[in-house]
Amino acid sequence: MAQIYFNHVKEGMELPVLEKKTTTRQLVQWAGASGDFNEIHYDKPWAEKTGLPGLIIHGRLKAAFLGQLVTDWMGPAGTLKKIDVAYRGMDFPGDTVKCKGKVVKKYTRGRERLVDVEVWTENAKGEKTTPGTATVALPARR
Amino acid sequence: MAQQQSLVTAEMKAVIGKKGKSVVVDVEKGWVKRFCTSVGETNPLYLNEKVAKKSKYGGLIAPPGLLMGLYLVPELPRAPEPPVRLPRGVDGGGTWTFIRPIMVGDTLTGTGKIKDIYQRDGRAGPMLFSETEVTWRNQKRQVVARMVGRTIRY
Repeated sequence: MAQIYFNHVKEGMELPVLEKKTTTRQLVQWAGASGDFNEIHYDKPWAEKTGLPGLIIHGRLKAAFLGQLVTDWMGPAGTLKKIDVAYRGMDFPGDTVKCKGKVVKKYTRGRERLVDVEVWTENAKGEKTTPGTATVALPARR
Repeated sequence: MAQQQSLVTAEMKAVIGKKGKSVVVDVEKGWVKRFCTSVGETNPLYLNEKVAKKSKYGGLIAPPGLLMGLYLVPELPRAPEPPVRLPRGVDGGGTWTFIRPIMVGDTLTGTGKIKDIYQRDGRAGPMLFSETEVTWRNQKRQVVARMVGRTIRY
């Protein structure tokens, strides 16, 4: 596992993109793991009956993708302090959801070296469907 | 300017801050593994005991998404019904604050309360937001995480 250090982080720096090729099977697995069995995520006729264009990806699965984006980037010595997300747009199983992030601020608070990142999921049209922010604590230079 | 009808009733204001019942979850190894499979997580801190043991945590930890995903709707306190019919309800998002590591094997107790209920008037008409806060403690009674979830009715 690669480790990033506070000294190497620059404001404006982009996080490596995490691509998720989603499937209906994944939504069923997520339903089982999270306990969210709302039919709009795996029963297509049901989803359509509620007025949706089809099955949709759980918002919280996209939030978990963004959690992974950040924790993969911060490395094993980093600590995720906080993450905030808003579910703005729908994504559909079969879509490739691109999880992206950018460093917006680095600062120290007490003994902690903190970095604020802007995170989001992006659809094929380039729309941000799940925007959010996260704060991580990173180790100083080795 | 014409005032929109207030959706926030006295009954709603009365429930703000009141604690709901607690929910207990065991952070089992198998659950963490199935969770990681569903997300596509491969981080050894969640899955590889040997690697996790040598990490700063000294053992397997739970991914942050485990609490972010946990579906708690039946357990959490609910905002009373609005005075007018709002047919649509959506999960608006949330904020998760992680205070201490969540270790595989921990037993977590979550206590929820309605944090706030407020109205915003948008293009789609009046919208009613309710925020629910859950505080998670481990078996040592230490707070490990806090979550605020936002539900939108419109």
